[in-house]
Amino acid sequence: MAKRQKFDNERSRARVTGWGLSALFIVSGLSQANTQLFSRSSVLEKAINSNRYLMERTDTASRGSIVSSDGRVLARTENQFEFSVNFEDVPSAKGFFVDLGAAAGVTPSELELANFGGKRLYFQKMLNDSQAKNVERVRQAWGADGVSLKRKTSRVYPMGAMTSGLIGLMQIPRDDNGKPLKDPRTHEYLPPRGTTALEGGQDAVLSGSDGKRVGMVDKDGAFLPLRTKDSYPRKDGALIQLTIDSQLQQRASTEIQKAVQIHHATSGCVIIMEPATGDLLACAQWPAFDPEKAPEAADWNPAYMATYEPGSTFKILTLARALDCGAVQVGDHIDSNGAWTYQGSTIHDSHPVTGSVSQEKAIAKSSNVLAAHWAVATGRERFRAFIDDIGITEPTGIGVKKEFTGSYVRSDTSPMQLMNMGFGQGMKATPASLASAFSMIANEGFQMRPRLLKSIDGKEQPIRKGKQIVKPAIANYVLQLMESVIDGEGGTGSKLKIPGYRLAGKTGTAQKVGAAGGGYVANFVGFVPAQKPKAMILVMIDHPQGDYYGGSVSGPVFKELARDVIQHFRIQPQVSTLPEAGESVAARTKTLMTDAEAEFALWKPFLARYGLCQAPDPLDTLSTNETQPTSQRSPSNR
Amino acid sequence: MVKKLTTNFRIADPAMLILAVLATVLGTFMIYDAGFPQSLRRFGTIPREFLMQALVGCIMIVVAAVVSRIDIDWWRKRASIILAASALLLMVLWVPGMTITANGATRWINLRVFSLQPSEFAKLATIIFLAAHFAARSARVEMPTKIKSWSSKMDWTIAKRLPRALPLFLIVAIAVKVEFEPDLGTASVILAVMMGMFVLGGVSKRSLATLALFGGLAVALVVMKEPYRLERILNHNSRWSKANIDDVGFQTTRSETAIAAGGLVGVGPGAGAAKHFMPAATTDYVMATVGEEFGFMGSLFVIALMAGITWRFAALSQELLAKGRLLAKEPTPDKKELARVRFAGFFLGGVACWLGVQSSVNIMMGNGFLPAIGIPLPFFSSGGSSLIVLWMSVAIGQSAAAALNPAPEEVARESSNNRRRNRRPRLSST
Repeated sequence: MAKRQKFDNERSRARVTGWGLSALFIVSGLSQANTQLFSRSSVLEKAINSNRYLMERTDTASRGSIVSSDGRVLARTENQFEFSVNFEDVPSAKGFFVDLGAAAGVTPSELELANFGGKRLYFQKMLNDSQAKNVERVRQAWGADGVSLKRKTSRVYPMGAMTSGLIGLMQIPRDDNGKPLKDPRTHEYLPPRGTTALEGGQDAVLSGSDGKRVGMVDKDGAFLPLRTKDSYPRKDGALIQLTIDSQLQQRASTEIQKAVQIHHATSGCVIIMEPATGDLLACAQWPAFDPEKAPEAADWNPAYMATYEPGSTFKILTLARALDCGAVQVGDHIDSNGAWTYQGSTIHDSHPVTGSVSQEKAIAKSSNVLAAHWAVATGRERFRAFIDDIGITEPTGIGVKKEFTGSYVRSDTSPMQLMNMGFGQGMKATPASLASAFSMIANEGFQMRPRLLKSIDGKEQPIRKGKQIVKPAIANYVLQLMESVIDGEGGTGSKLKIPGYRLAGKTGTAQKVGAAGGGYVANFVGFVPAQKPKAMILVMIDHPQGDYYGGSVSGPVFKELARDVIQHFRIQPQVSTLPEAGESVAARTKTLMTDAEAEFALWKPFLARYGLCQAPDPLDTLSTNETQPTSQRSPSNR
Repeated sequence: MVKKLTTNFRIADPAMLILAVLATVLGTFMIYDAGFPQSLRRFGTIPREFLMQALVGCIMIVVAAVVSRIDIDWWRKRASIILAASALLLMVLWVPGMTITANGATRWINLRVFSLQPSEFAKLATIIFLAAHFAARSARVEMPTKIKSWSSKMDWTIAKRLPRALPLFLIVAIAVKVEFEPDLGTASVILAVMMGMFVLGGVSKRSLATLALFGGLAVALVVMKEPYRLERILNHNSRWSKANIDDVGFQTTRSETAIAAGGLVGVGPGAGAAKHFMPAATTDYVMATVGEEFGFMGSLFVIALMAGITWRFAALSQELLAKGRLLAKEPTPDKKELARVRFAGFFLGGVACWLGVQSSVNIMMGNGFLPAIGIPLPFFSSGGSSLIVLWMSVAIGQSAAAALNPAPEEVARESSNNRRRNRRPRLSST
């Protein structure tokens, strides 16, 4: 019996063991189900809230820099880190404060002072890259969660106001009421975006795209990125190289500021362009602003955000067009009495040019009557087609934001409009588009669209070819005529000579129609040098007080910048053989001087004084007649 | 072929063998899966644990085939020697130049090419020893009722009871040695298996209660010995707090998150994240990767697989013990056969306790139900010694299951040994 009991007891014990093991597995399965199914979301929530395990990190792309063609930085992004300590959540060991202080460049006592009383205080400071790295190391070593670093980027513009109109600004996005916008997801203020000029126009290229990294944090707080389908790499913004030359830009900026301030003008801008490529070498304006101090409203650049009547400078294009389509022949003379009435509309020269007026004289003395004649000879349709062809009525596409376009009243078919347009009135154009149009003359009639972006991330941007606007011979002829503006007798730009160099130019003084208070726009377009020009310089000064003529307001800016262009391109001096009296420019031949000849020409006046050679021609460009006009030559009128 | 295999590998219980092979293969695969990111990062190679596991797995299946042919009684007769050898192996860990110390624990004997973990062998030795002990004890008990009632009064004196408790002291001594490596996980598994076998083997309820009392005190002492253990247990509920999450709660919270991230169907093979940084990704926390990559379905499969293996051992144990009872009820029981059958039964029961406790505790540790104790998952966690011992258990388990059949083994072996001698003379060898 006892034996039986014992073995029955054994059976029940075996059962107990079996039940016990079953219970263990059942509890295992249930607890697994609990973690994995029932309380899954709460576990994951805890994990996400603790910022451990799986983490998502936004990998902020750094904004691309903008550099000039000669490699000077015009805009770059600097990283700064906002360093803050929440003393409630850091170790209280002295060693920690010593380490943290050394890393952040703060004295430990300063930190401890901020920790006074152990209250919830923050210590804040901006750190640079390497300091931030050190602080991060200390934070990990001590496991100090209360230390935080927040990246703040700032945009630096080393050339400041000199390039502000071109580079533009970055601004915080705002709603209609001017309140800064917040990210709807993170409820943080949105970072500033490029809004104006290049920063605005090339914002997508410059800003790149943020990456997202999904990863984990290991025991030491190090981030281990995972290659999952949810993460993608960041793409840094591209490096943009401009065609702008920093030296010329600096000079242009200085000169235009000087001119605007001397003449108390409203504004002014200057564009230097390489006709052969369309490259913009400089594009400066005044007033300008310092983008780092960012007055939010001053995002205006007259070079492409304002339209002006080109005025007399346009006459060269009118003539080129008239010659190209055969409406006017090279060397034609027109009898003029300083005014012309055509189909009931009358126009006047601002300074009457009378008699049998040659094309050379018309350009040199800026005759409105002849320009109107040329326009009328060309005819309305052909003239309008021409204006559209040279790109005045469309944006130049240089890559900036908010580019304006020029226009004329297409519905107005009166002869007066055509005559006016002949000498650059009754139509509007941005200086940038005019610069491209004028450059055509210097590039044998082939127009290049202006190019500002030289390369993006090292990838050369193509030269933007336009089309052949006029025949090469005609372009060269017009260029020669323009030389007489500066070089010739009584030219409107005769004060702008640079000894040893042949320059070509055209003045323009456009009356502002309809503008409040009237006023003028003083223009000058010039080519340096006159033969195979390396650069076109366009100066436009809006509403100068007192003297308002293109030749005397804008001309000096051209002259100063022409010197810089000469230096920039290392252009050798050259002289022209001047035409005999009555000889037309068309018949004139030119010789290029060798270096030795140029050297000799430089010394010619001295040699002549001591009777060592023939006295120089008074009109020789090397003479000093710039300041002492000879009696033979009447003071020039425009 | 099949016949040859069955003759080579005595398959007494095919279900147990199939489940064990399945667990080994899946476990090896999981070790590769869970181990490769960290191995790739540190050494640039496929995980060493995987190669070791695959190699040991292959060797052990062959070894198990041989071992399974050894009669179960062979083990019973050598139980004391096995326990002594195991204790000796544990004592080698005191020899300074021959050990490997990792994470502050000296658990491995350095054999140049590979290392051996004696505490794993101690588990098996414990089971064999206790099974042999109870088999002998049960078979021997034939006391007159009167004397028994008198002696039961005498039982109250400790002195009389102490010699009977000798196995207890031996096993506790081994567990204490293991604990001082330190290796609380293995030590507690040994003690748990011991308790399980005490229940199974018929230790009186009073003794069990006393043991539980002393056990509780011992556990308290052991926990106090290493302050981090107390911290782990005390802080288990607040493991998500800022102070604990990177400290005592590190492993548990990460494993829990990984398992939760797996959800029902998991993130897919190889896509798991936890294995990238969990320090014990291929050992104690292999379930984190299973749960994350294969979801609850995968976890449940593994749990069911381990439960299945455990069930095979437990069921066979019950059958054998029942058979033992039948044998004992015979008017003249064959004491030798009875001891053999009961040893087989207790052995299988002990292994069932071991697998059951170790699997379920590991799984509950992985899903955050229990604090981190450091117990690997049989077949799945990497470890050569562990796999050797597991397959030894399977092999001995097979020969134990064979004890269910009325054993003509001695005769069969005799005849097979003398087959060549006994065969009739032939002219040719066709």
